[in-house]
Amino acid sequence: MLLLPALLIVVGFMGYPLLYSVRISFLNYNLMAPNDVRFIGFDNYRKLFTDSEIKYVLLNSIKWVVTVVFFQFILGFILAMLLNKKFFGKKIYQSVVFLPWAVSGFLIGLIFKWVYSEHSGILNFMLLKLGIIDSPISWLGDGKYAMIGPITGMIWYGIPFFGIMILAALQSIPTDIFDSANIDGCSGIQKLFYVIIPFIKPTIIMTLLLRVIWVFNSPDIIYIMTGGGPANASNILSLYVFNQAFYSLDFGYGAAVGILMMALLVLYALVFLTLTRYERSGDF
Amino acid sequence: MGNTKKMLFRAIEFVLRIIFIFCTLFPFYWMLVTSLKNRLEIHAKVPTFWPENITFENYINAFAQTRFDMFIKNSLIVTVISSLIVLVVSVLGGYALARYRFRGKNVILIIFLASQMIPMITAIIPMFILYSKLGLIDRLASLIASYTVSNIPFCLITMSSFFKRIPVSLEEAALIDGCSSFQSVVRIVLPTMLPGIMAVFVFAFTGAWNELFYSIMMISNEGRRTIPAGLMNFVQKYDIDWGQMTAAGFITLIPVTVMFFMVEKYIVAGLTQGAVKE
Amino acid sequence: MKKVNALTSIVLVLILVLSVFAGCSSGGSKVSEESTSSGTDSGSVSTDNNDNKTQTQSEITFLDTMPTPERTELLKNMIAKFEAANTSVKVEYTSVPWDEAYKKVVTMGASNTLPDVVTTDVGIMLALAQPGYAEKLTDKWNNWKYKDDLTQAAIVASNLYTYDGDIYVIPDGFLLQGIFVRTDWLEELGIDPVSLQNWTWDDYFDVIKKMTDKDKNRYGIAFRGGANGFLRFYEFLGSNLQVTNAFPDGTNKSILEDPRAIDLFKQFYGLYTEGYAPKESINWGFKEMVEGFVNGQCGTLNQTPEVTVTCQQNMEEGIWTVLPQPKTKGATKNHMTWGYSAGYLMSSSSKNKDGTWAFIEFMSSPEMNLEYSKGFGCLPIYKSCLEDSYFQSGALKGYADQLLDPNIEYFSQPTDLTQWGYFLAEYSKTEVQKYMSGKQSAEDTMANLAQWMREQYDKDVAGKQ
Repeated sequence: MLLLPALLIVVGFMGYPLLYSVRISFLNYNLMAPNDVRFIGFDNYRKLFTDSEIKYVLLNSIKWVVTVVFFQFILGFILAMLLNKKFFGKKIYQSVVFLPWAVSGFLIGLIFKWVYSEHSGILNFMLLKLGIIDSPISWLGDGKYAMIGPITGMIWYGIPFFGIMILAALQSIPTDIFDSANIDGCSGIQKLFYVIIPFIKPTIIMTLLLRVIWVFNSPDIIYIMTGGGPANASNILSLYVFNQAFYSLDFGYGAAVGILMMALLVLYALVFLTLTRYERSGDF
Repeated sequence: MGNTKKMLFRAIEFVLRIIFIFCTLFPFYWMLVTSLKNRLEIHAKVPTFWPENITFENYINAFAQTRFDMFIKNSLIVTVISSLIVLVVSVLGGYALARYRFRGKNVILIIFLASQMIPMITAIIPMFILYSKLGLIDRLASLIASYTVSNIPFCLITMSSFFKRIPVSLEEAALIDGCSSFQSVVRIVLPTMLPGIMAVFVFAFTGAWNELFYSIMMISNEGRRTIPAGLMNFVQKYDIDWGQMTAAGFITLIPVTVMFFMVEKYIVAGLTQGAVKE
Repeated sequence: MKKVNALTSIVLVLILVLSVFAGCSSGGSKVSEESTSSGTDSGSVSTDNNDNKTQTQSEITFLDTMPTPERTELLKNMIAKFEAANTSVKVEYTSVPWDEAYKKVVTMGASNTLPDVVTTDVGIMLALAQPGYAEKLTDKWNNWKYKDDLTQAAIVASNLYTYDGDIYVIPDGFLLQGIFVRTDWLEELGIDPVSLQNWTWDDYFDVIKKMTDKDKNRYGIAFRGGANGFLRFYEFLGSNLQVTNAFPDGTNKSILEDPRAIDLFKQFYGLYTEGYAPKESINWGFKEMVEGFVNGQCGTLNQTPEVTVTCQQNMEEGIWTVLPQPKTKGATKNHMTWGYSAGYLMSSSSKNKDGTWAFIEFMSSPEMNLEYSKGFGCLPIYKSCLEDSYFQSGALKGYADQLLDPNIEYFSQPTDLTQWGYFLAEYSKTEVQKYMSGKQSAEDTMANLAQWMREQYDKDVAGKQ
């Protein structure tokens, strides 16, 4: 019963869009051909496998998600551990390091685009000055590097998220658990692996799971920094599909890719939840 | 021996803290510096790390050419209302998801997760149809609804993971003391969860505060724009004006920063004091 | 009124939250019901918030798709004048930033929520006209009271606001390309800008190469490798091949398959691959190019007249000028393309078509068109306006003269291809970027592009006959 309001709101507002998407994914639904809307079965889905760019873009997506979430998590965890202690100026320190989370993806994209700019960017200037490179690197225009800019921007943005979530979890560990661990003579590392991590495991699992989904679907920083270019070198699936559907106005195809993406993510969520045994964790 | 180890540990911690704060602050610092430069200095061959001639021109323009006061008001209305709804709904649902065993629990979990994955490309059109039937198009209410819907799943699930960590024994103890089960939740569990609740609130708040796509798609009237959409006006069709953009960006950061500093003490607050000893 | 309601709704929610936290005695299920209903309550409260429209006069909504602070003010002034002249119609000004305009307008079309009037470019027009979201304005255009005053340029380019034989857009003014150059750089090289007034493409390429000096962080051209960048090559190709459209044979063989095309392709994109443009410019769109020129990184910029306003605002006086688009050596006719900047389109779902038309007619009258063109920086659609002293002096003169040149020949875009907008924004961008970044040969790139043109021609043009 307590779940009802949440369910009503979510299903009420998202149910129709979802059903609509599923329906048109089986239709020849191109706004450019409004008189030719008809049922075409799985043709839209089949078309997906003939799109030669898809594989490349999917691979980019995986690169994007794995690097971003990995660094966000590790650095966020370290940050939370650092903050879980008293030190001078902690209050201000904590507010400051959490600030990136308050910045919009749009603004982050702009700032990092500015920092990574080939000619007026501060990064190239500093690298040149330090003698690390001899000529400016086109961070956003060279396919080899194009992913680096958006990835660092996204990591910078997400560290505080993990930091806050893990810190909040750490702080709700009852002190007596630590007391008993200390009595048992646990070392710092042992405490980390045998007391802390098991205790905050539900938070870790859930934040990781949600983060992966979220990062997968968040192309705004990429969109602003490189637009997915050059030649899709920094494009990820969500941005690719979005642009393809909007510029070609083939919404049927767009929906098919979207649904497939969704299926992929649901599958991932199921596997992840099963493997980590989320249901049973935290019951002690 | 133990002492040197401790010292070393402290030193590492100290260095790490410095690194973190440096990396965090640098983009902000660079944004501030850029916003205080004039156009020539912004594009100077050798960048200056502090403006040679400080100018507030960019800030003056940002206020003169847009209705930032209006944007801030709209953003506050939308963000506060939607994040409060999200918070209440998530506390209720999160508790249920964490505590009760019932059939279809995984189904509900998947429904919530799936709602986060609905492809935006195709969802936006039916959403428009739905909202125009409800008369919400070009109204702040459309944003409140969108942000509430998009933030609930995440906040609710996170909340449930916080509830999971609170030992059931804590509640049982309260029950024994004569509280009803609802009382025990409100009086005992929620205070212990305050940091988590605050974290979720902050999430819902920033999520709504920074959202750009819905805001641009749903709102056309200038007087109802939120801050990110208003900021987008600085990326004009004809040019990128870094000075104005960074100035405008800096302004939008102020309210969120204030909120962060206000809420922060709740997240930090040690909370286990007063919790029932096992 | 507004404030009070907003406050009430916040207070309502706060009370609710408090009641949840404090209500010890109530059972769980009851609380959840309360919270649902009040959740929707607070939503509807804020709906009423903004619902203070008056119904006494008819209201139409106007959506501008390329707002800048200056342009917004200009349009609002024009709207005020319209409202003063037509007291029964009230116009609500709304806008969407250009970068998101296409997506928003398409979504509004598909969900039947389009405003009465939209300012559109060719891409948006095609996207709205084909599914029938746009009102046909053919009859109105044919009986246009100022028709005789229209410039030759407006008449010749009319295929750009026509789709399948019908007119959907009343053009607001014309934009054509000109070359912005840094005159101070030219002086350093000992080149007199006046000598370039009649320049050829070879001269242009030559200047670009001479200007490039990487040690000084100077590049000859602000290249457009991003969306719609292909249009610049398309124009170059058309000028060199001396053709008036993309399918000169009337078959599916496009100009991309002309034997000379591949060398022209290599020559044009060589400007990028051989390092006369910043490496970053592979992703550049409109804004980035202009920025590259304005901030002194690039010496030339191929752009439309409204950019002069940006340059005037942000560059020192006397260090830049605008030259006409280069010509093809030995050619008698000067083939080039131009288009309207943001014509007015009426939505077919408009509930007040008369009021809407009155508005469009007012905005497009010679008097308003002149005011608009001056403020926005485009070339007016009327002869009488072009003769205004404003267009006969300064940076805009170069553009105006080009349009008045008797040797000008209109080179059209294949707007019959329904996916032409997609081709410019996505397909050609990716293909050409592959070439620019060395992932694909020029031959393969051109073959892919030509193949696309063939297939689309077969589908959209040959298929219809």
